[in-house]
Amino acid sequence: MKTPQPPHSHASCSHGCSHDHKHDHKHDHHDHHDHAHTPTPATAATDSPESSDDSAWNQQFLLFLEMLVLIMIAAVIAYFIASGRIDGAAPNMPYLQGYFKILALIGGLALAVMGIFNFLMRRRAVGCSHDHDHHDHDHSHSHSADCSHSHDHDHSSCTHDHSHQKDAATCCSHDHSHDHSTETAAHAHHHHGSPMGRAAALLFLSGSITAAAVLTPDEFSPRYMEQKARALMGRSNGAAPESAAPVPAKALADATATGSGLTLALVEKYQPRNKDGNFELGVMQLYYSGSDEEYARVMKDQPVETIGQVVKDEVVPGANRLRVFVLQVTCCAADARPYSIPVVFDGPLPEYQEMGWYKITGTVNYADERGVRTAVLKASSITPSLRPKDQRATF
Amino acid sequence: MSLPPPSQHGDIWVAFLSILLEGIPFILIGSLVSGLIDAFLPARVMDRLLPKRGLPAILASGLLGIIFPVCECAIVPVIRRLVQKGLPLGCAMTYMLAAPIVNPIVALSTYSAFQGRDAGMMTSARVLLGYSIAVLAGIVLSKFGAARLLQPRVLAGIASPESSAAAADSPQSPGDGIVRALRTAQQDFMDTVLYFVIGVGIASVAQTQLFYREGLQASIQNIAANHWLAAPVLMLAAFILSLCSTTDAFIIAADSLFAASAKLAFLVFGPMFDMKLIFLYSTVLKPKVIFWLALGLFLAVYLATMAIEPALSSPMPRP
Repeated sequence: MKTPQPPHSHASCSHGCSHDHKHDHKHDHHDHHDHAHTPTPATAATDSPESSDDSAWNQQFLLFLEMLVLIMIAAVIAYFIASGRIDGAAPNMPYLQGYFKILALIGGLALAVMGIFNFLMRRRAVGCSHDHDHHDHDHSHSHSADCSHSHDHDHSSCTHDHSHQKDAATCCSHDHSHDHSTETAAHAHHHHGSPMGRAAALLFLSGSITAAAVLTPDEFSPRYMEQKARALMGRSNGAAPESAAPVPAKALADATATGSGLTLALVEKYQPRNKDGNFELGVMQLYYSGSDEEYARVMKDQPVETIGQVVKDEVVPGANRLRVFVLQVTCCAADARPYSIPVVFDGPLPEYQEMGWYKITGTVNYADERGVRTAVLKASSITPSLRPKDQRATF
Repeated sequence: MSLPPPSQHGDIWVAFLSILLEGIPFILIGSLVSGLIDAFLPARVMDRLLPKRGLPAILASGLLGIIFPVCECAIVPVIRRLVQKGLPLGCAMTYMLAAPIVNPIVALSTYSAFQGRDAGMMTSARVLLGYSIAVLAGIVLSKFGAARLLQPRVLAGIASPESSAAAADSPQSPGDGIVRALRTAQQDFMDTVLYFVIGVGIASVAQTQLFYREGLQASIQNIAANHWLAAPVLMLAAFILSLCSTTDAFIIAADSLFAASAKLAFLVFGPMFDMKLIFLYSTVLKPKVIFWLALGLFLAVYLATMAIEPALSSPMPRP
């Protein structure tokens, strides 16, 4: 079936052998295994007790490595959350949004606990309730041929061996008094490929996560943000998510309680004006303000200011139109989408830089855009701005 | 420590890390459930729980997600374990494909994402289509033997009836059960997360380096207006974006470019098949089976969404 493995892999002898029993017993690989390979003297000779000790040691070492990798993943998650880097370097562009952060933190801690627990419990033998179907099987495969053939299909079907406890070497010396109903972590359950393969997998796993944590700039490049923003610009509409609810929930609750409907005074109560008399609203808030009819009625013609990135309006082209947008993450940074509203000037467009951050002052109006009531900012001024540190706070 | 400046390859790392951090807790949940099943659920117990006959059993399996709501990352290790515990393959595949859609959390998130945009219709269409297609796939796959579908190492772990009898005989203390459950959970987690990392890596490269290129997006926007091509294009997007089924509705609901039927295709196909799932499925299924599954699901979702298109609120422009 397969070519015999080189001697260095004989460490897994015990696993291979016990496994074979099961397979020979249950599956029809039997014929292939049994007689296909004649063991060479060299193969048999290397199946010494030391090799089984190596196997046990390998398993323990792999468990130790797994624990380290799990703790490392936990540490990366904890570090990103504790340092605030999870919120990203660019406004509105966290790695994870809202409760996904909490979920990641809990998950990370649980991973570390699991890794440590399993390492500490590695010697504990527990009942193994599956595939110990060889109790009644004859274990006296007394010639070393069994041993060598077990190596031969190590990688194809040898993945679920629940092998003997400490007597690994007996695989080839035909003492089969081992107890098949128990197993320790160090001796079993880790049978997904060779120790080398599993170590390589762990290395790849820890390597890629470390590389990501070290090499990530915490924000997308302007080039990618622009690509994405332009691709999806003006393609969003629909109801507001909780995070961008246009009217503070308390104002709405008050309006309902008094039965008077939403008034400007109520909006002002929960959304105070700044010293210039303007409402400071996020682009998201303005964007979604159109979806609430009452709020739109109250806000119409009110003075506002907002900060966002500015591009030429290609959704509804016009000589006096720009579009201000922010990218907004729903769950993770990979799902960021631009949310934008049109900015209309009375005269010709002022000088501006595409994709630049600006503070725009003006009054809100509402117009039909692609069949949806959309906020339109009638701009009176546009001034370059630093990008807001954390616009999420304004939602 | 100063951060590296934003760059084109930095984009890959940001996307990679964010999807990874989002998915890891769910893979852990799936692995822990798998460990608990391994330690505490006697082999073959699924046989007793489910209807005896093939078709009713498959029909019932499609609804298991209601009792045990999980997304597509968490379901894969659970399925692997359940198959080894003797759950018939048709049932397992139906549960695996249906659970990320036919479950209350996903229904709720779909409903709230589509609020004000025919949410009831969209949500029920998604759940019904997901269920029907998962059942169909389960029926087809149940015609093949386990040996033709499963990875050899999964096949090797399938419990035989004798072994379950033996297991029932050997008493096990709760402490042993926990040790065993966590041991299995860790093993499943390590296995699954490795393939997840590979899938997420490829998806991150595809979406940051390829998908939003101007030329490609220009053609996508042209295609969006095409009656026949809009759905396949969004299914391709779902495949590349590899979103979680609990959140994908929020991403697509707001899009005003594509018709509702194309969005429905996105919402049904994505949770059943995407880039990260190729690698997760490969911990259970043979590569060939994954290929045919992809093709079958793609066709089934496409035909089904085209068929029910007239019932949706914003029909695509006719050609």
